[in-house]
Amino acid sequence: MAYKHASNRLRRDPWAVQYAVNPVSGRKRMQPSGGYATTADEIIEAAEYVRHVANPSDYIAFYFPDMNEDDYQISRLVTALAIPDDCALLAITHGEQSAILAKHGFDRHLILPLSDVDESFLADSLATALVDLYWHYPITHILLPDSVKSRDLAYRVAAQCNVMPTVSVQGFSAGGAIKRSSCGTKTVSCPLSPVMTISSDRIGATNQSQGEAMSIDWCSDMPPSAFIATREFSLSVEDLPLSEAALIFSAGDGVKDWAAFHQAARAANAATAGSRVVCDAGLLEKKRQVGTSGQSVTADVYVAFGISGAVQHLQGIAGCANVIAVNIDPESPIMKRADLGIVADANAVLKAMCQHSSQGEG
Amino acid sequence: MHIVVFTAVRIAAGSARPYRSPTDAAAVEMALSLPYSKLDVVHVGDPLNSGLNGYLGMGIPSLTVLAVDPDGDPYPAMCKWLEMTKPDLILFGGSARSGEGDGYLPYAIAGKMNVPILNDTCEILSVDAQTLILRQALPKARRRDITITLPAVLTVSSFAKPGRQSAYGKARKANVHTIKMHGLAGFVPVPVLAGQQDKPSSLQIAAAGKPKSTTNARDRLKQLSTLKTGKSKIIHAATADDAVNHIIEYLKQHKMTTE
Repeated sequence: MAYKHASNRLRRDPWAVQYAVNPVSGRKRMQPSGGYATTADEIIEAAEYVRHVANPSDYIAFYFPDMNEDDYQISRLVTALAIPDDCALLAITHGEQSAILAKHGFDRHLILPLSDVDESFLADSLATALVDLYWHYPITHILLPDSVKSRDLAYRVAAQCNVMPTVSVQGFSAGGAIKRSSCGTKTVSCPLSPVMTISSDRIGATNQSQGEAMSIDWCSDMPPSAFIATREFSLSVEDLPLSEAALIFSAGDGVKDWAAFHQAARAANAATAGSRVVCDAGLLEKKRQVGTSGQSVTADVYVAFGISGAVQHLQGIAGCANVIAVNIDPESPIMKRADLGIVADANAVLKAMCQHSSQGEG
Repeated sequence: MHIVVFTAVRIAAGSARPYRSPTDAAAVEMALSLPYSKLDVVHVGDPLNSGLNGYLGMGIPSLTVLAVDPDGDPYPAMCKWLEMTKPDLILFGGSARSGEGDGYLPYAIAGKMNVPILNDTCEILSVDAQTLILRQALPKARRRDITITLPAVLTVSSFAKPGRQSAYGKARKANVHTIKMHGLAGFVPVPVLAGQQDKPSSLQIAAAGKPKSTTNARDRLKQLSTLKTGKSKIIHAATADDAVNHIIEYLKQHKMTTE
């Protein structure tokens, strides 16, 4: 078993990865095919004792907006921080997860009711609720995951508490929080801020004690928001910037049947993209080109039809989580990059795909 | 409606030349599309900075520069100036979604002025005397329409309409008003965490992009591009339908089909 991402893909755990020395440069280099993150269950089996905090004098609060594995990663910080005996670890969530939280080493658990604002998550009312908590309990730090949503929340909390937040924390040392600066070329050690966001995939799994995750009541309502959310929707795949697409169908020189390609993409609700060859030939718009001279994409699934996989193209899809390649040549470079490689003629597959989708509708 | 746009100048990493920030330019573009009674495009820093030409050439009425010391904190100057002018709408360019902890300044300003702030605005749909309906960009290609009452602070998303091209002639003719900021002592700066220490990163992921120069460019590219999360599974599909079934099964596994 390994950690699963929200999109159900395996997470790579850089800390579990084997390091090897590059024979050419003499540098240490990560083995890309190395380990996967440990599951919660595996950590728990290693946990030796249960921590009791009877009367906590202060709290360190962890806010888990989504309760997915991304969120749980920051709970591994529990061991990275030296925690005094009378300091309780408080998990703030929107749902009942006490059993899991106890296993992750949390001493207290507080549920913020989200009720009707759940779908139209409005950060300002949530931030005010967290600030209320911050002043009500003696909370020394609030830690959040480093997502777009959480960082916005962290800034709001920090602004209301009038403190400087520390975002994208990479880890902790004796000197304080470690973060990167100057485009990742330097690390900076700065004192622990009351509000911090923690980068994912940075903290390794370690042995830790279990907690009790005793419930704390918090019966105030959510504060009012200054905003009214009227409508939330997903962009259609035609309007979508390629960099935001979750599923991409991409065509290379092997694709000749363009009607089938577009029909298949429409049926699968996928954004369309292409290699340099097809974009230069005017078969797709220039803005749909993926690769060194086009765009870099970060799709969850990237389906490459008739693309051999020149390094310039592979560079453009380096950020894609899963790659499916359909190509007639089993030795083409894209097959080495692909998670699923299918040796077949792309045009025949596209045609069959269209038939399959029209049968599904009929 | 009195609109203020705060703009900054970036420094190109390679050439060290100053240039306009793309998201700040998008914020100026958004302001120009609104029916304003007064528009102040404001820069805090050096009025002679050549990077400001990027904004001046956009056809803005004028540029206001709040002159502070080169290494001075812009926050007190901005607070004081906003307190004097009391605008209805304040726009900031959004920060990059990863990297350093910048992007906090708009929140600090909004907190100081006690007005609501909304991040990642990508479009303004309608403008009333006191209300705005705008579209916010959310992760995973989602958008949300939000009604907000003025005064307010907005940060502009990188998915907003990009700033128009800067024209050299307009940049030459544009007016720059410089305001020397005094009496900032009463404005307490944001508490900066003291004692930051820089050291070379030990966290650079496998020194990406910097293998030893003895390898050729093709190998360097390959090192960057062959990263993946699992092992390849190669299937020799007997028929096209067979291949389609494999693809659809894989998409289902990854929750990518609507079926």
